[in-house]
Amino acid sequence: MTQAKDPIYAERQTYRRRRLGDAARLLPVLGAGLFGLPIFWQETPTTRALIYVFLTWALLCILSGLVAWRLRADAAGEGDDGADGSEEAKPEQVT
Amino acid sequence: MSILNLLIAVCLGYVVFLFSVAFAADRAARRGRGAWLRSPIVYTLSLSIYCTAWTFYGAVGFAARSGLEFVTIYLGPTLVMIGWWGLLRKMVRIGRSQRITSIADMISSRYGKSNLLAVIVTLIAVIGTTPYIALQLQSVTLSINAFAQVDLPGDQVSETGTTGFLIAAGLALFTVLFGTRNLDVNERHHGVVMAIAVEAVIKLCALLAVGVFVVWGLGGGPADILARVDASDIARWEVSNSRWIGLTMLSAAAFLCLPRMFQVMVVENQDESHLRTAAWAFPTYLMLMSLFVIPIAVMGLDLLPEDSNPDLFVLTLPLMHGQDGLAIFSFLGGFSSATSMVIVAAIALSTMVSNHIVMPVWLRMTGGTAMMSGDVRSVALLARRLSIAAVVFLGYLYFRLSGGGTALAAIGLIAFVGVAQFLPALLGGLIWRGATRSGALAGVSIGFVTWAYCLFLPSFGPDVLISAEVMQAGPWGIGWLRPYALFGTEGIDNVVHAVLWSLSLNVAGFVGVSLLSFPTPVERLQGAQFVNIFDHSGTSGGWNAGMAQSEDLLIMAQRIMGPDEARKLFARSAQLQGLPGFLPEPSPEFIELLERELSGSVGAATAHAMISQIIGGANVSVEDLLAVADETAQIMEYSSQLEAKSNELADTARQLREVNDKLTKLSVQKDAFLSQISHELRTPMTSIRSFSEILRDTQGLDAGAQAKYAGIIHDETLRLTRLLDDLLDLSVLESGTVVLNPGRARLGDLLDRAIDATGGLDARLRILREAAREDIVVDTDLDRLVQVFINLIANCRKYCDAPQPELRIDVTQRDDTVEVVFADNGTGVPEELQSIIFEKFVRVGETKAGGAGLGLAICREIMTRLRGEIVCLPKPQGGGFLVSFPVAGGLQAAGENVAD
Repeated sequence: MTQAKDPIYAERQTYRRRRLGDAARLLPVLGAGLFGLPIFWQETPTTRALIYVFLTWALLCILSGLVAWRLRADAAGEGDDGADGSEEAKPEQVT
Repeated sequence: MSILNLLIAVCLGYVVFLFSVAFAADRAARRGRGAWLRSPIVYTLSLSIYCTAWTFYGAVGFAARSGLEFVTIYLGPTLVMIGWWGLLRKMVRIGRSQRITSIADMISSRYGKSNLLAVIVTLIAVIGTTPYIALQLQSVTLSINAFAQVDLPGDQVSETGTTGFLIAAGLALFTVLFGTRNLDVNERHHGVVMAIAVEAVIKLCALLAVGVFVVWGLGGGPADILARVDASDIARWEVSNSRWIGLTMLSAAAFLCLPRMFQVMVVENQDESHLRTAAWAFPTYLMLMSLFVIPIAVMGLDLLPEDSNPDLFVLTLPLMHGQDGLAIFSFLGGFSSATSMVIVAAIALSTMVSNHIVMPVWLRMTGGTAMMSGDVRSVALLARRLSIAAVVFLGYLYFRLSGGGTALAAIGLIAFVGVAQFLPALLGGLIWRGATRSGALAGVSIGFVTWAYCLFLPSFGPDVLISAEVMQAGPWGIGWLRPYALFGTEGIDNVVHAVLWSLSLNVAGFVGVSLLSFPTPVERLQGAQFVNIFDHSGTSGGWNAGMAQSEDLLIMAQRIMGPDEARKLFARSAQLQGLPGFLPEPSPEFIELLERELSGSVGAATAHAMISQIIGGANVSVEDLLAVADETAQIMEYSSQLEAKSNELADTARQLREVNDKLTKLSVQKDAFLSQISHELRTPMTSIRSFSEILRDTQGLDAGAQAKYAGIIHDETLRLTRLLDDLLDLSVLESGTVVLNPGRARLGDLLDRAIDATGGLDARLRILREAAREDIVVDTDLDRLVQVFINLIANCRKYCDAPQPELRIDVTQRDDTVEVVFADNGTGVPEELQSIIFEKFVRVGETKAGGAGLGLAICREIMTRLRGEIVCLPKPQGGGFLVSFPVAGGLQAAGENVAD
C-alpha cells in the first residue's frame, strides 16, 4: 500500500537506512553460518572450538551493537521511511 | 551457626530484599518517579529469565557431560536477538498495537480471535511449563541439600518436600502480590520486572564470581584452564552435527515461544526502541553467562570426587574449598534464576488460563452476558490469582510425583520442543496472510501430539506411560511407528528426532490446511493487520455499532477496568468526539479502542466476545459485508429511482409544454377561425342581401337577370346551410348523441361510392387502387364511413399541390382491423400542423380552398364512434392519412361516450 506511494529511488539517507535494515536482517544469517562452521571440523581440540565460538559471539554482539547504534542515530536525525516500516514506535492512540 | 542455618537466614533476608525492591519499584512507578524503571537496560535484564536454574546449574553439568554442546542453548537466542530488526520488532509492534496479553492471545488474535486456538495453546503451555517449574523447585532443593551435606555429611536430607513446598508457597505469594496488582497486563508489572532485573544482575555476578574464583583462585589463569580442558574427558570436539544444529534451532524457537519469554519480551515491553539495546546487550549477557561454564566444568571434573553431581559444580566447588560466602552468593544466583522464572511463568500462564479458560467459562455460566451483576474486574483478578496458585502448585505436585529424578533434569529440552510447536502458527501468522485458523489448529495439534508421542510420554521411562514393548517394536508391532524412530529414522538423538518430526508434521499440517481452508472475514482482517503491521498501524476494523449503547458499554467497561479508569476513558473519547458530558458516541473507532483496552485486561478473544454481546454479535461477518453491499445497492437503486422520477418530471414538463403550445395554437386557430367564419358567413350573407335588395328595389329587371340573381341567392344559402350542417353534425358527433346505422358492404364498393361522390374519376386526380385487397366485407355504419372517405378524397382534390396529383388508396387487413391508407404525392400536412390537424376549425393554409376546417374534425369523431381511428401519416410515406377500424362489431351504442 505504502509501497505504491513511495518513489522508486529513495534519497541517499533513506537508501542507507534501508540497507542498514537489510544488514540487521541478515546478521542472524551470518551468525548462523559462523556458528555452524564447527560442524565441519574434524579432530579439533575443544579449546580451539571454545575460543572460536566465544570470539564469534563477541564479534556478533559488537556488530549487532553497531547496527543498532546506526539505526538509532539515523532514526533520530531522519524521518521515517514507511516502506520498510522503520519508523519509531508510534505512540499509542490512547494511553 | 551452621552454614545451613546461615544459608536459610541469608535466603530469608534475600526474599525480604526482593519484596522491598518490588514494593519500592511499584511505589515509585505509581508516583511517576520511575523513569529509570523504563530504561532499556531493565528491559534487557528482564529478558534474562531465559536463564533459569536449569541453565545456571545445568549448563555446567551439560558441559561436563558433552563439552561445548551446552552453548547451543544460548546461541539460538543470540541469533534471534541480533536479528531483532526483522522479527522481534514486528512481534513487539503487534503486541503493543493489538494489546496482546500472552502468546495464546497473540496466536488467537491473529487467527480471528479464536478462543479455541487460545485454549489449545494455553493447555500446551501449561503442559510444557509445569515440569519446568518443577525443575526449578528441584534445583533449589538440591542446592540446599548440597549445603546440608556439608553440615551433616552422609545424612540424606529428608525435608525435600517441605523445602519445595515452602519455596512454592513463597513464590506464589510474591507473584500474587506483585503480578496481579492491576488487571491490565499491558500495564507493566514494575515491581516484578524490577525484581527480575535485580535477580538477573545477581545471577550473572554470582556465576562470574564463581568463574573468576575457579580460573584465578583454583586454577592458574586462562592458560592453565585451557591446558586442563585439553587434558580432560571433553578435550575432543565430538559434537554431533545434528544436535549442534538442532539444539541451536530449538533454543531459538523456544526463545520466541516460551510463554515467560513472550511475557517479558512482548507483553511487558514499554518501548519498541528498547529492542535496540537488547539487540547487543542480551547476547552479551548470554555470552558472559556461558563464559566460565567450561572452566567450572573442567575444574569440577578435576578436583571433585567422581560421584559428585556435575549439575551442582557451581555450588560445590567453592563450598569444598571453604569459600562459604562465595558458595552462598552462588546459591543466591541459582535461587534468583529459579524464582524469577517461576514468577514470570506463573504470571504468563495465569493470564492465559484466566483469560482463555476461566473467564469464557465463567461468562458462559453466568448467562452468557457481559451485563450481569457483579464486578467482572474482581472476578478476573481472582481468577488470575487462583491460576497463579494453581500453576505453581501444579509444578510442586509434578516435582513431588516425579520424585526429582533424572527424568526431571531432561525436561528442560523436552519442554522446549513442546512450546516450539507454536512457532509455525506464530511465524506463519506474522509473514503469511494465507495462514488460517484451521491451519493453525491443525499444525499446533499435530505438532503437540507428535511431541507427546515421540518425546514427552517416553521421557517418563519405559512402562510408565508408554510400555517398553511399544518403545521397542512400535504400537501393534508396527515398526515405523516406534516413538524414537518414527518412519524408520533411527540413529539420531531423541530430542533432534522429536524436533524434526513434530515441527515437520506441524508445518505440513499448518500449511496444507491453510491452503485448503478459507478464512473468516475477521481472520482476513487480522491477518492483514499482523502481516502488514508496519504499513498501517490501524487496528482490526469491523465494529458496526449502530445499536451499541454507550451506557451499556460503560457499565461493562467499569466492571473490567475499574470505574475511574473506565469513566476517564469514556470522557476522553467523548471530548475527542467533541461531545459534552462523558458518554461518547459508540462510533466504530471508539468501540475498537474500547475493545483494545479491554483486551489488555481479559485478552482479545474475551474482550471481543464481551463487546459483541453488547453490540449484538455485530462483528464482521460475511453477512455484514453483504449487508453493506446491499446498502450500496439500495442507494444505487434509490438514486436510479430518483433519476427515473426526474426523467418522468422532465417528460411531464415537456408534455405540458407541448399541450400548452397546442392550446396556444388552437386558440390562435380559433381566433383565426372566428374571423374566418364571420367572413365565411358574411360573404354569402352580403351577396344574399345585395341581390335580394336588387330584386326588391330594382324595377324592370328582365327575367334572365332575375333568375340569375335568385340563383346566386340560392347558391349562397346552400353554402350557408352546408356550413351550418357541418357544425351541427360535428356537435352531434361530439356530444355522442349520433345514431349509427349498421350495414354490411364490400369495402371496395364503399370506396367506389366515395370516389363517385367527389366527382368520379377524372383527369385532375389519378386514383390508384388495388381491387383485390379491397375485397373485404365490413360491418359498420356504412354511410358514416363513406363520409370519412369522401372527406379525405375531397381534401386530396382540394389540397394536393403536385403538378400531376395522384392518390393511392391502400387497403390492408390486420387481424380484425382494416387499415385504409390515403396517400397522395403532394407535400402533405406540414409537420407543425400534424398534431392539431384534427382539431375543429383548423385548416391547412389560410383560405385557399375555402373550407371551414371542420372536415377532419368530423372524420375523427366518426372514426372514434366506429371504434377506429384516423391518424395523419408522416411525410416519408407521402402526405396522407391512415384510417383504421374493426372489420365487424365496431358500432357503438348511441350516447355511449368513448371519446373521453
